[in-house]
Amino acid sequence: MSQMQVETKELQRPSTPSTVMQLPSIPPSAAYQSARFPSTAPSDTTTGSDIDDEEKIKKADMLWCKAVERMPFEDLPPASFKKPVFQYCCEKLGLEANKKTKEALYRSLEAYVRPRNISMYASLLNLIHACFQITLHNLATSPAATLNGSDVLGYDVMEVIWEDMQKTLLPSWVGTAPPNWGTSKRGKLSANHWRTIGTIHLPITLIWLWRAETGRKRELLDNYMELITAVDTANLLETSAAQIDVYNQNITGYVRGIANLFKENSILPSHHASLHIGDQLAGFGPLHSRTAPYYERFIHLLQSQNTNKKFGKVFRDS
Amino acid sequence: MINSVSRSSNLLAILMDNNEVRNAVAELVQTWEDIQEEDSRGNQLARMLDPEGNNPSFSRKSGSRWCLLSEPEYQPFQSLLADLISRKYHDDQTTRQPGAYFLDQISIQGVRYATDTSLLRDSHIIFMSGTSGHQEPGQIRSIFQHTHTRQAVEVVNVYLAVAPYSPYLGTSDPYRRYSLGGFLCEKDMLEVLLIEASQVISHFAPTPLMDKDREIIHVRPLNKVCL
Repeated sequence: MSQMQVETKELQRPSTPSTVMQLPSIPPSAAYQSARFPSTAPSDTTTGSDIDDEEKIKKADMLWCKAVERMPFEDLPPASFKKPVFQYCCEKLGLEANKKTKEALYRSLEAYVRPRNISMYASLLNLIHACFQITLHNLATSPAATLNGSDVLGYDVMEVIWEDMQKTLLPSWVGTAPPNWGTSKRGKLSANHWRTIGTIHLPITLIWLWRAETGRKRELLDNYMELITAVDTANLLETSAAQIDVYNQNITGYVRGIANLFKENSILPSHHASLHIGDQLAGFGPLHSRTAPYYERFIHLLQSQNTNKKFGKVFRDS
Repeated sequence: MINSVSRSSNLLAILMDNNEVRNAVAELVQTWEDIQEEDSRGNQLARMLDPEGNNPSFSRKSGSRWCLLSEPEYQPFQSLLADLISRKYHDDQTTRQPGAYFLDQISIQGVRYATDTSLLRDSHIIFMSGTSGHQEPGQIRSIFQHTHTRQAVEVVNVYLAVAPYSPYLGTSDPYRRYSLGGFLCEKDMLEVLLIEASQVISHFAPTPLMDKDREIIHVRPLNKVCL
């Protein structure tokens, strides 16, 4: 790895983003071509979505150039990019792309570009740029196509959720979730964030967005709302036989639903455990006295105590 | 940490037993009690942990100011109050004080509610309508504490002037399909009405949505007590 880092330092960094665009003659794929030049039709037949796509691609192109400009030299490949990027590059150059490690792929690429006196960094950037454009084009034109079998929320839906989140006015006692949740930039969320997103924000947007859906999306929404009803009912501060029935009905429906809707996934122990919460509610009452937040609040209380590591004085009445 | 908690317990015991100390730090004691009654997370644990019900169902949170209801600004409340009290008792044997304490915020069973001008986030409420008997969404415009006397007994109550949202006029509300999905209503508000603090059920989260060309409001009730 250290040898590789030394080698990468020998490579030349392009001085401006435009250098990237002028680089070696690696034929871009048809998808890349269509992404770069999305519409050859006369302007009067161009639809609104085509224009949007083109604008999105142009905007992303600009962002890409800015990102390259800011990229520090030390972070150059292979450290900066993931294995699929190198696989893609090898594939485009007609090299063996099925090698096991990223380093091996990097070596193949290096062996190809060095004798040809091509800047490794520039070549990779050009290829990665093409790869990036194709991905973006796919995202812009057919969001559903980029989702895996069980994935539901694409970027288009997430954008609407983020927009609605900004407009929703939550009471001061509800913890607000970060506005860019779900992005790699934001990272992990706390349990409280997930709860606010799951029980408040997602139902608001998804029910409105999919109100006319009748197929799988409707089934997914119904299934999700069963989960939300169960979660909200289980977390109420009072309980009753009727509420326990509501919980049991919804959680059973939810678990049955996921078995039907996500056949590729298996039922987890947590799903099984959730089926017993109704019994716990009936036996021990509302959950707030024994769930994790109860202990978390205690920890918070103790942590917020000011201490000076000295024993307190004992007061005595004379 | 244990030391600190023990020391706090010692202090609390002294404050409870020693009147001299208690009087010397009366302001501190009052603040302490206010904090105990309050529940900033809205889960009403303060009420749950007080089975004897010593905590009042409401407490004044901040800056109360005495105002005469005969002043032009408050006259609408005077007539609304007269209506409400006469509807409640079905007779005229009640003496009302001429003024009331107007408040910006109030804590009802450990949850803070506020007027739209003081804290917008806490001003949206679901309340039990006295006329229809249904739960309705609205926004708090004013809060005041008023005293009336009936059969030589003083009754202190907190009233909220609430502007209810108009019911949804569209053909079908997709949110009604789900029990906890909330519901839609129009952005327009109806005439302000007066309710008692006991009619307040919970907060709700409003979200403006576009239905074709007009703006509507989605109401997501946030009741954490019961269905």
